[in-house]
Parts: sequence; C-alpha cells; structure tokens
Amino acid sequence: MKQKITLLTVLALWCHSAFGACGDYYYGQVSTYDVFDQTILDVGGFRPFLLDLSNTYYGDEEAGEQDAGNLKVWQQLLTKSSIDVIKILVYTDNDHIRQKVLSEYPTSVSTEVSQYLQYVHKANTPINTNTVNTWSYADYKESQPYDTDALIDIAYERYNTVSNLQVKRRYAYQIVRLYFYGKRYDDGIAFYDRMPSDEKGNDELSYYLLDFYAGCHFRLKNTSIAAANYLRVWANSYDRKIGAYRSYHFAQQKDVDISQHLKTSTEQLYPTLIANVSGFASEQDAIRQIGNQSVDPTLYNVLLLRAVKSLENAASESTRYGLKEEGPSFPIVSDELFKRGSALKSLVHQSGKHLDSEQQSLIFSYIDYLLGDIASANTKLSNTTSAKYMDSKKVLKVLYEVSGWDSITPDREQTMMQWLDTSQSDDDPIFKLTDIVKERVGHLYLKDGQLAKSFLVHNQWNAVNEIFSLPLLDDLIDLANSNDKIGTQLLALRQNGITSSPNEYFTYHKGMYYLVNQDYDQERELLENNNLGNSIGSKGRRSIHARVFSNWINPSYSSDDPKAMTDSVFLSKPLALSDTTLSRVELVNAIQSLHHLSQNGKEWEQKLSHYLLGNYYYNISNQGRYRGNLLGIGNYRTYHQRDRFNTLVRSADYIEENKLYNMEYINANDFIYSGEMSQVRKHYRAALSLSDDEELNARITYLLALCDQKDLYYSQEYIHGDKWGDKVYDGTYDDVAAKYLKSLPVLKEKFGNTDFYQQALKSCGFLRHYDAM
Amino acid sequence: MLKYCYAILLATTAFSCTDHNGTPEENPKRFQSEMSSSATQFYHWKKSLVLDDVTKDALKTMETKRVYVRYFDLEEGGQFSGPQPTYLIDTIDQVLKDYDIVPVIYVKNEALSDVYQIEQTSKKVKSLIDEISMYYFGKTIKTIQVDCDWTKSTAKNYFYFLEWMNYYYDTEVTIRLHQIKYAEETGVPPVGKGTLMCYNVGNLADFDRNSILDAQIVASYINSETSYPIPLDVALPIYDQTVVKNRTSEHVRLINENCLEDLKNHPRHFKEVSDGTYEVIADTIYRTFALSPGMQLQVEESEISAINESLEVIRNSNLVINDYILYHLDSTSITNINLSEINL
Repeated sequence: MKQKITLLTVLALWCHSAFGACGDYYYGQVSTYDVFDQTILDVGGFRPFLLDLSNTYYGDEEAGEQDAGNLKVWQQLLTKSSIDVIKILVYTDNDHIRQKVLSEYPTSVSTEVSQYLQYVHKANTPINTNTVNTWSYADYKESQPYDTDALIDIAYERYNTVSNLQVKRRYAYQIVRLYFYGKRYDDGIAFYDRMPSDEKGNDELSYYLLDFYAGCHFRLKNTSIAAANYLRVWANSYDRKIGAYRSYHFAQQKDVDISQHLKTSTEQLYPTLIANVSGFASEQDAIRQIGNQSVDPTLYNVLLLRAVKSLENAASESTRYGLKEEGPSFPIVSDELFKRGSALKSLVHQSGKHLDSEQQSLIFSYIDYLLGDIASANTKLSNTTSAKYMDSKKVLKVLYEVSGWDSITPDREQTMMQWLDTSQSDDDPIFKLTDIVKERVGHLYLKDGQLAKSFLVHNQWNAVNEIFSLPLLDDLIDLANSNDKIGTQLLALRQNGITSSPNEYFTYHKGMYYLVNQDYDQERELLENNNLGNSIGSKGRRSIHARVFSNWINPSYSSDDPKAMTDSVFLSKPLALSDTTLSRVELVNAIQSLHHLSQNGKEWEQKLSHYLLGNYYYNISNQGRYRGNLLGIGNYRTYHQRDRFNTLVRSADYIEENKLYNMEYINANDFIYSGEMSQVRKHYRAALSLSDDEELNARITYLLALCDQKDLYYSQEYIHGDKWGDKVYDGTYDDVAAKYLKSLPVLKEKFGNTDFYQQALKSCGFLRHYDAM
Repeated sequence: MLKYCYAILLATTAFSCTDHNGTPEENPKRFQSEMSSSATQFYHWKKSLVLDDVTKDALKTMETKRVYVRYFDLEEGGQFSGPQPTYLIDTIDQVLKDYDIVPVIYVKNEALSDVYQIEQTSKKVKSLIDEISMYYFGKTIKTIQVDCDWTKSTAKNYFYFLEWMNYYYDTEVTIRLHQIKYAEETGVPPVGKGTLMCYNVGNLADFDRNSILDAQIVASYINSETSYPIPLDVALPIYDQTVVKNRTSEHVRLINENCLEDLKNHPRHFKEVSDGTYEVIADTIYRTFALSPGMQLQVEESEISAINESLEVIRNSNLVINDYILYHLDSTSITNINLSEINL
C-alpha cells in the first residue's frame, strides 16, 4: 500500500474591501511503500516501535492498554487457568465469576486473590481522586472519586498480612501507585526504596512498580533518576513500553545525564537503543553497538526490522509535486541506498545469528530487490518454503514479477484487473501492491498510446471535469464505443456512481472543452443531442445562472447568491432571458445570439449585446464569480496543477506532449482561467462607443476600472499568489496603481455627478478611497 | 499537652464583646470594627463537609451566620490542558442551607501563569462555583473568597483574575502577613475586603516554635504603624496538627490531626524526644505516611495565649478590622480549645 502524506497545502487567499481575489494552492506528497512484512520476526513488547509512517506506535496505541505481561504473571500464580480465563477474572467486577474461577485453587490463594481483585476494582476507578479533567461538577460527582489515603491504608494493612508473595507485591504496587496519584511522591519513593529485593522482583510486575517509582522521582524533578528508570521499564517491560517511552522523553527534555544511574553495560546501551527506535539515529549503528552484548533478541529484531523498513522508505520516491513525469517511484536505487543496503546485509550476516535461514532469506531477498537485483531477489525468495512465511512470499513474488514487466499484454491486463479487484479487500496481502501495479500498468498503457486505459487505471470518470485534453476525451469516447473487454471493465470500475453512459458523459465533457475554448459551434453540435448538455443535473451541477450576463458594483466574494449580481439588463431585450439557470446548450445559444446581434443587430442591440458579452467574459475570468460555475465546480476549487518547479502547468499539455510517466495525480483543475482582459475591454468599449446613456456609461467605465484592477493584480509589479512570498497588491493607490488604474480618473471626472457614481461610492471602498484623494 | 473540654457552649458571651480599647471618639476604627462585627464565622477546608451533632449545636449556640467553605483548588493543568479545578468538595451538609455560605477557592499562582487564559479561566471558575452552589443550596451565591499566596511577580496576573471575579461576584480575598508588611511591593488586590490569615505563620520544619501561630512572628510583620488600604477580617486558628519531617528537614508533611495519643501508645515505633516531639524508631506506615527511623513528628496545638497576643498586635496597628473567622469548622477543633478565652 502506498502511503501518501500531504506535506503542503498552501492557500493564498487575499481579499480587500473593494477588490477581492482568490488565489490557488499547490500540494506535494511523500510516497512510501509498505510492502515488507514486519511480523516475520518476533519483537515481543517492542511491536509499537516498528517503523510505521502512518500510525503512531504501529497502531497499537489505539488498541488500548497492554496487559499480556501482567496476565502472564498472574498465570504463574493461577497455574490452572488459561490466559483468557485470567483476563476475565482480572477485569470482572462480578463476584460470582470471581469465586467460580478461584474455586479451583486452595483457599489461601483464592481468598487473598479475590480480596485483592475486589480492592483493585475499587482503586482503579477513577485514576486520580483530586485531579479531574472537567469543569463540570455533575461530571465530577458522576466520577465517584475515591480517597487515596484510605486506599493506601487498606493496601498497607494487607501488604503486611497476606501470605502470598505475588499478592503482597501487587499491594506494594498499589501503594506506590496511589502515592503517585495522591501526589505523595516522597512517600512512594520511600516505600519502594525500603522494599526487599525479593518483593521487587524482576518480572513484569516489577516494571509496573518501577514505572510509578520513576513517576514519583519525575514529579519531584529528580529527572535523571526518573529517566533511567523509565528506560529500564521501556527496555524490559512488555506492557508498559509505550508509556515508559513517552515518560522517558518527557524526563529527557532537559537532556539530563543519566549514565551514572545505568548500572550494567547493557543498561548503558539503552539510551542509544531508545534513540534509534525514536527515529533519531541509525538503526544500523544501534545493531552494531549491540555487538555481542546480551540484549533481549526482540530488541535486536525490532531494530533490524526498522532498518529494513527504513531502507524501503529510502527506496521510495521522495517528496514531489504535480504531474508524474518519471518512474517507477519504487524502488529508486541510488548510490547512497546501495551502500546502506549492502552494509545492512553485512550486518545481518554478522549479528543475526539467532535468525533462522528462512527469515534471513526473506530479508536478504527484499534488500536485493530494493538494490535493483531482481534475479537475486527471486533466487533467495525461492529458499523460503515454510507456511508461516507464505503470505510474505506471495507478496514479494508478485512484486518482483510486476517490476520486471516492460510491455502490456492481454495476459498482464487480465492479471492487473484481478489485482484491482483484489484491492477491494484489505485482508489479502496482495492489496499492498495495488499502487505499485497501477503505477506500472498505467505507465505501460501510456507507453503503448492507450490514453483512456492509462487514465482509468488511476482515475474515476469525473476526473475529466478538470482535465481539458481533447486527445484523452477522444480516446475515452473511442473506448466507450469499442468492444474492448478490459476497457469495458475499467470503465465500469471507475464509473463511481455516474448514471450516464460513458459515451454521453465523455461527449458532454468534450463539449465543455469547446465551451471553454470558445468554439461554440463545435460545442453546440456535440451537446444538442446530449442529455447532459440539455439538463441542469442535481443541485444544478451542469447549470449556470443567467446572471452570468449581469454585473456587480461591489465585487464581494462572500455570497453565492446570484442576486448579488444587481444589473438586470440581461432580463430585457435583446437577450430577454429569465432570472433562472441555463443548461449548457441554452448558455451557448445565448452567447452565440449575442455575438450575432453585436455584429448584425440594430445599434441599441449591438450596444447591449457588447455590454452583456463584456459581463459574461468578465464573469468567467479568473476574478469573476462564475469562473468555477462554468465548469460545474465551485469557485473555491480553482487550484491548478504544478510541476516540480512549482510552475503552473496543464495536464492536457503534458498529455499532448507525451511527457507523463503515467496518469496518476492528473485530476487537478486544468483550466487556467483567463487573466487577460482584452476580450472584456473590447466588448465594453464597443458598448461605450455606441451609448449616450450617461448612467450606463458610468457603469461601463466602472467595469473597465475593474479590468484595470485585474491587470494591476497580475502585473509584473504584483504577482498574485503564485507562490509563497509573492508580493501582492495591498490596495494602496500609489504610483504603480495609478499606472494601471486608468479608468478611475475618467470615472471620477466624467461621471462623478451620475447616480451610478454615488451608488458605487457607497458600495466600493476603494472608489471611496480614491474619490477622497 | 492540654486538651480542652467542651467549653464552647459556655462561651457565647465571649464572642459578643470583649476589650474595646476606648470609646468611639478615642478610637474610631475600633468602633467601626465593632459596629460591623457579627457572630463567629468559620472556615471549612476539607473535601467533605459533614457536621456531627456537636458541631451543629455549636453553630447554633454561637449564633454563627456565616461559614466560609472551600469549594475547590485551582491548579496548573498538569496532564490536562489549561488550569484545572482540583480537590473539589465532595459533599456539603444540608444543615448549612440555613447559613450564609461564602464559597472559597484556593488558587495556585502557577494556574494563572498564562495571562491569555485568565479570562476564560475566570468564566469556568464562575460556572463551577455556581454549579456547586446550585447543587447543594439550590441558588447561586453573591459573595466569594479567593485564597492565593500571591507575590510581587505573580500579582499582575492574580489581580487581573480578581478583576474578572469581581465582575461576577462580591469578591473577598485572603491576605497573608508578608502581603501586609510588603504591600508596596506585592500590591493590594483590587477588591473591597480581605481576610488576614493569622495561622500557618511559622516554619513547619522548625520544631522549636509553633508554626500554627506565634505572636512574635505576627509582630515581626505588623506594628503600630501598619495599615492596609482595605478593611480586613482576621482568621484565627483553633486546630491542632502533627508535623512530620524527615531527618534532614527537607521534606515536611502535615497530618491534620493531633496524633499525640497514638504516638504515646505506640512505643515500638515512636519515642518521645521532647514535649510533643517524637522520633520514629522503627519502619511503619502511619496515617498513610511511610515513616523510617530518624524521622520526627511534632504535635502542634492552637494556643489561647498565642491567639490573644497576636490579636493584641493586630489591634494595636492601624489595620481596619471587621470580623473574625475561626479555622477550622469541625468538632475536634471547636472542642480543642476554650473559645471563651479568646479575646474577640
């Protein structure tokens, strides 16, 4: 499974009281592959410290408190009971069950255990008598806090009187624990220090005790003692590793020297080892340092597995942006990776004596694969035959095979479809490889010129909403009309709830391509008989409001209400539209009608047609409020694809120039809105030249000023939100602004006495600012 | 060590009038004090406020009208985010519905270290106080008291917190001796009334002096020239306690009881080394404390002489004194001492 971590989501959003604008954002991803099975070695309680970039503590933190170690200690006393039964016994508050389980044991044991478990049930709820994470008294009363001092009294009395050593030790644990929660840290330390060594022991229970003892020291700011003891708990306990790991790092925040408190040479290694499982140092260095010292083999194993996973991560593609030009993204063999992998193999040869031959074969096989030697990887993999490693072997076998494909064949297509279907189930380990298979097959399709299939390997149909590529749309339509069996399966797999036929759907989008490119004849021809082109769809997704031909005085971006567009000329002749939504066909009819009238109509028709066309082209420009609506997407989803150099690019260009490795990550908005205002100005100026209506002319001059303002935003002096650090226009009327905003003086001087000007002054802060100068 | 009998029922008149030190014309502040003086008030500081019959009777006999009840402490959040309420009161005897209750919250300076959280914290504190009042008394309460050992460095945040509490309530505060003496440095809290804490004045580890109250210590902070901008009540001790300290006196703990009888009765673990002071001679857990040989325990009692001498010091100052509050409301404390001998 490929893990994708979005690193950057950079949103540049800038608005001004008078002039609003939205930016766009770009994103990058880190891709890593989680192929290697880390469960092939026994890591005991260190499982949470396996390397996992997606989950903290390998996902074990969510699994709740660990108790396996504690239950095993119980089993040493309750030898006739299974772990499952002991677990029920320990957690139940039902006395009948308790007595039933303990009836198998002598009274001396059953009485003391039963009494202890009843006590613990009380002492465990809630954890702290005096500190509650609530400001609600009702919640506090609900929590039924207990009195730690009273509980310590009981525990101490029984600690002195019970005959069973394990039960006595458990009371000792409760005493130290309750001292800790009662904030009586000195007393906890004093009690622990006075305990005879046989009561402290060296089993899991001893580390439960030590954990709270360390806690008492920590709260008293005896940080080095606390850290050393947390380390011991981390290294030796089964259940309390995560807690001790966290506590150790808290205690070590001041970087205290704890070496004086670490007694043996093995203990002296602990700081290095914990640093390694924290990802702050090389696992290989840690394995080397362990050398021949007798550390728990599970600790060795976790470091080794982390080292292999670390190599796997290093072989994965690092952070990248935008369209996928190069591949494969895994494994990427560099000189550095080769050195690391070779060193790891050598290290395992030297120090991994406790590993069996099949474990070694699996590890060496995978390292060879990461280093690019698929043949050797396959040979070593064949040495693994045990059933317990079959899942791991199956995954690696497929991985090696797919990585060796250099062309697409019908058999491979068929195999790919099986894997894509397998991806529906997380249970099958093959699921891990889906992204790798898709990347490879998608690439091979593209290499073979099969654009549509390559697209469908990675994308749902609706990704074409934002890709304006004629060759891709044509290929998708061709595929939809073909009898290609795999193509049909792929189309079905990626339909994702769309009810239209593929032909109708992709033809509609081809029509949209022509709409965006202002080839209205082609658009109408494609959409005239297309259901999608003639309907508005649910929630008006394929509609645009007739107010796209209107305009506004205050270009606020805060409202989606079309009534914010106050100018109602579009409701009258020559357009005479209703105040309603238009299908795409109705839209193109209106545009074409206006273009015709602007050339061939009567003078007043020409004037108003130019005026309405100016409105339309402004409204679909990158500052217009219908810029996203035109495409059936929201105005705020107007981010664009970027290449690795963070430059705006279009997927369509990459497709046409054959620059893509495959079609993964191409579904960002490809339509780069027009920032160029000449078409808008042309129509407004034509309207102005035909008009002697002072009020209309004042409004048109104001709209021309908005065009000037857009030029200012996108001027050389101000690059609007392309990248972080870009200088953006801050709304000041300075020399640069004066250079671009040429219509403003005209508006003020020529139309300052119009009603429109007074109305605009009320609505537009920038105009007020200018007018007052 | 003296143990007083249940003399409180005889002490009624002692609380209403004693040494006036002159006429109102001669000493106007004194007159003001007596004019506003009411029946004896009490503090209650434990988690559980359940009154036995002795205490209930005593409250009636002494015509007590007002009881200061600690609701909760406000501490730094620790494992939780932001300041948190701790040691919330568990129960309040319904008998107290008939009394004028003043909720008290104890605030640790660290809880107010982030000035940006103070406004929010004050709202939460207000909400919790009201919830507890509603829970036990079916109504909200107008007057509260805030107890905090603020210093020069923490005064700014604490006073800001008080401004917020003043917005919600008629807020009183506790004042410690050092805050009277060094008022210019530590500042004067922005409230209308304070309570001078005349107990816990000494060093617990110093077994040569009674840490509960020592008039000499009071006199080292207050003299005839001492004044304070806001009127004060005076809180006086009637409790006993036992102090536990380790060999080096680095760690000192308190048992809020007079343990003298226990110490006498356990010679296997405790040996008397001087009047009221015992040394641990064998490991033991006592009152939940893990005690080791060499550690010492000292029983401290509130003493009439120390109380009256301290009152004398205070009355000879320019402090404006209104009422008196006795610490602590429980049957042990109120039977500890012959209250009629206190010169209130």
